[in-house]
Amino acid sequence: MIKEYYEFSNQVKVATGEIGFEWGSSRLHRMGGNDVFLLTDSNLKELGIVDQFVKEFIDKSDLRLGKTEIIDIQIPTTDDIDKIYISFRQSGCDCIVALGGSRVINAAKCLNLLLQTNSRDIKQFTGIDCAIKQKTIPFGVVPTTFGTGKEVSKTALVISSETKTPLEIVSEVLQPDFCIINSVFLKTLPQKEIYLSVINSLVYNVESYISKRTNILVQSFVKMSMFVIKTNFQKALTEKNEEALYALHRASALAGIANSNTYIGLVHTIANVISGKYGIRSIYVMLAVLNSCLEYLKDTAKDSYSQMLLYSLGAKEYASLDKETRMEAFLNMFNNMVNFIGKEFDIKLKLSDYGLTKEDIVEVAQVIEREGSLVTIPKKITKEDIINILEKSL
Amino acid sequence: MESFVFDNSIKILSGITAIANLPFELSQAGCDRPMVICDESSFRVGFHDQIKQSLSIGDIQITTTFYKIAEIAKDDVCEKIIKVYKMKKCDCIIALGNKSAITTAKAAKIMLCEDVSSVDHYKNSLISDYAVREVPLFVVPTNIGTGVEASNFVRVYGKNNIIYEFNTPYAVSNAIFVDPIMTDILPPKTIASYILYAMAVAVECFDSLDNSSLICKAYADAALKTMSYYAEKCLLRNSEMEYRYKVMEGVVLAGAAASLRERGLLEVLSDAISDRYCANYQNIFAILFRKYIVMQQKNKDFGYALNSMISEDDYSLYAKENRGQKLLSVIEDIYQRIESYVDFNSKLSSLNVKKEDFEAIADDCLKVLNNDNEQVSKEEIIDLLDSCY
Repeated sequence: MIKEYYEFSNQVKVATGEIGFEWGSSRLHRMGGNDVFLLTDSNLKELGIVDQFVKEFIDKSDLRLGKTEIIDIQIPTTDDIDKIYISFRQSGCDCIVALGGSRVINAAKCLNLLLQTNSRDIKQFTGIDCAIKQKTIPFGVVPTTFGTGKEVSKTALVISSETKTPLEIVSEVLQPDFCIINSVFLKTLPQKEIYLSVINSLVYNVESYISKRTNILVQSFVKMSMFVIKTNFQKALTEKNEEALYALHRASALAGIANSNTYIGLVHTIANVISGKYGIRSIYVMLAVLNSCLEYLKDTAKDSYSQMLLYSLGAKEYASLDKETRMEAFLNMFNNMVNFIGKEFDIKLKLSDYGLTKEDIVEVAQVIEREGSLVTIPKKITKEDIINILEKSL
Repeated sequence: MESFVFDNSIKILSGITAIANLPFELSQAGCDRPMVICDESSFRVGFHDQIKQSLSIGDIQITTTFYKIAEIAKDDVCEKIIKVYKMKKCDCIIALGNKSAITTAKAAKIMLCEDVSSVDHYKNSLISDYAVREVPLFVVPTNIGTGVEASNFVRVYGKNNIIYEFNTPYAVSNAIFVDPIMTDILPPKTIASYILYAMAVAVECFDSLDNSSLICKAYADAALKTMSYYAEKCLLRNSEMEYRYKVMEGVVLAGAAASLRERGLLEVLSDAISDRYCANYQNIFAILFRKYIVMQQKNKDFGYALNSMISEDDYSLYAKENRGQKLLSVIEDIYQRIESYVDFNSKLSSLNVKKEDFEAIADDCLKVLNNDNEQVSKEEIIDLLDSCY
């Protein structure tokens, strides 16, 4: 019996390494781009990375720098996106480049969506596949961090200016035409950020692997991503080895591709809601709730956890454990990572450390319960389940 | 830091009702006037009607159908297609059928993107960087094919035995629909060569563990997992739609993996032999691979593909230094079992390849490989051919 129907798309072209800039600028120009609307953040500007990028990517090509737009907001509101849209329209630019981390890429994707659909109101695209492309805007992404896979994903997140709730948009129309992966930007990343980025990639991988929407291709992408993380994590962390950072960057892109085909899971859903409501950095919320979420899902995801253990720890460690203990070993692996990072980088690991109370938990659980992304998790979850998870993380 | 560009966008829709998504995918690309290019067999056995029905549910009518295509992509056929496409004001192509339909469609698409009306144009010109028009291409394979669905590599056969080879993003498919109801029954011998070819192509993707070709390896891993489970089942029970469908899926995935890596010795050698003797490319590739893989075991990363071909529990029992040997034995075992089921052409001599032509074949190969900087000697090529004879 044929068990499943699935779709898998991998639409974003990926250029890695030293030829990436030349290839990317040439591609942008071939697509009809001339004047670049460059989105970036103030940190990169101060570090001189923007100037370096403009020199390599724009000045050496047939492109011109039309306008630089600074994005410093963590998650943009619908009003923020509207301001960026107006800024683009006033600039006279005809193509977009996002240089930065997830906040910059997220904002650029929202802008791209509005332009490609000839729309002004981003709210109407909330949900899955609500956008139909009317035209092509040349759009490339140059991530300067890794871990979110935003450069290849078909998701974006905005906060409604009216209701202050997160609006998740899932659409292929969000995706850039290409992304350029170059580890030159990662050399300045602090150890803490490397560690956080790796955990983020791993969580995306786990969510994709166990999702109801998973399929053979998603699991293969996760497998490759986890294998590369396992091989390069220590070297990147301890030696800041450029090749290792480059490898982690690519592993993160694979995690992003996998996740864009399954959508986010329980951990990211909770993190997005709490982060949006209380202004806490999303990855910190993730660390606080990660272990509780993985524990909650263990009865339905047991075999998957066991398989992922092989990719994360390697064959020798996998073989040394019997079937019953593999799942526990997988959970312990994440537990140890979270505890280590909390201690090493002085990160708070409890929701109460960020000021949340039991009353807040009950209130926020009502919002989380309504999140559409929860339909993809491998277990039917109730408000009481969510409250339990959050209480354990309190 | 090695540089790579993965410019092959891939979208796969797989499973029952895959073709029901045709209208949506066409509309996403802004199309509603499709030209269907299909082989005559797919037209006659009802696959064309299936497509017509799926499209009509989405209020899309087929503008025109072209089914008088040859076994290979030929210049005169491509030129006719282009004339009809323009005359009927089509806005996209649906390639329905076997390898010949898909490669012909891709060749026509390349020419339409460049607004070229004759293949002779490419005698003196290269493909340009700027497409004149967008031509969305949707692929619906109908038999366990050859992995060309996701490929950017196309060969067009011109007059006076000229072969035009294109490796261009213009050949990319917007979406590939792998639908169980669209699978055709094939002779076991043909299935065997396609299965072995797909397996060989996927294993080749693991020739090194360098991280740059991760996306390629991900597709190869999925292909090998699918093939390992379903290949023999399909061979023995070809009438079961599920098995045909899963093997077709595996071959599509192997083709996607191959499209993301450079053409190497086996591809070029198989082409050279296929052109010279009009023999089946996939069969040749499978024969060569069996011996070639033994020569590769000195590679330090050799053996990693094993992870995709056996269970996690079994894989974990092999130390790194033993995986290569185990991989060879798994592959050889597959070949032997397939040979026991069907009378598979397992030697080059059975394809009428002549020993006295080995030097000339090696020379043809080296002309292409040296242009691509592949480091292989004439003696090595002849040794390989000899071992496969």
